[in-house]
Amino acid sequence: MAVLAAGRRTPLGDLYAEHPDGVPSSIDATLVRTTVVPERSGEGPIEVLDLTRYARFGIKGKGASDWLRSKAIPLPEPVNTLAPVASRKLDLVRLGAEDYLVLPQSLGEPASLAALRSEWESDGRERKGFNSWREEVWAWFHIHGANVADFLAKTCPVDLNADRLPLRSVVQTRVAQMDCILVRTDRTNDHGFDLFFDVASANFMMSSLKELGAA
Amino acid sequence: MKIMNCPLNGPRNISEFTCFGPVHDAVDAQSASDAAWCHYLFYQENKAGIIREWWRHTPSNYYFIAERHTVTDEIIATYSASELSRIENKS
Repeated sequence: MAVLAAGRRTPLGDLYAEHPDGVPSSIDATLVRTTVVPERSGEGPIEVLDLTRYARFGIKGKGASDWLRSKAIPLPEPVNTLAPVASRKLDLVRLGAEDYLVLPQSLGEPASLAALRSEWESDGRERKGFNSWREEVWAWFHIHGANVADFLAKTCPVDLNADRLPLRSVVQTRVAQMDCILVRTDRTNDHGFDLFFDVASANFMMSSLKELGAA
Repeated sequence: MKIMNCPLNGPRNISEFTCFGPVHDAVDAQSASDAAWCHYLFYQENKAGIIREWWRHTPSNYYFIAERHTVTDEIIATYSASELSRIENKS
């Protein structure tokens, strides 16, 4: 785990190297925060948090849904929604009929996520989906601010306004000309979206958001 | 921007989609002759009119069927691949 965390390089990768255990101590103390639109008169800022070094887990393929059901985890219905799993302190995002992304409800407490992952890895059944390595191949940003929907409208073709897209909705679309999954989580208690996209393009995403903010 | 309706994700810009060609029966890999393989891989009917095609919504990697008019390029209908056999049985 330490090797993987140290090897990750997202836009603020040098800072990641300061936390080689891959588990930041708290959201405020170590979370990397970048302002893409500064505060203006009457309008709050729009900020991007880089959450890439936090734990997450993805399974997909035949048997993934049955495996989750066998663990008494209720599946989000319909596809493209997030459902909290209170008993395990996890958030389950459904991206397809047999495609799931699991996030910790509390970013700094990955134990429940690690436990689920361990259960899945040690399960010997033939059909349980396969590990989609979301923690390795997807960057994870959170963008938030009162006007975040208007800001993202410059680069995302889907209407993300709060009245059109309720909390826990998922949109699989394009942002900054890249395939991107947006999950409305409002995790800072502000209107905000988690962004999941190709980790190799994380620098490009951050540059694009900054340029849009400056335009 | 042309809009296409994804059966899973709803109406989206056509730039979010990729076409994977006409729907046609697969050959039996064990018994197909060289000629049958060639026909399967390289022959396109190129019909003027409404055809069924495989399309993918790229951000979600979701494959589905679209009926498109090859003359007007109008997309007539889109639906899940699971509906294909039901539709073919009706017709």
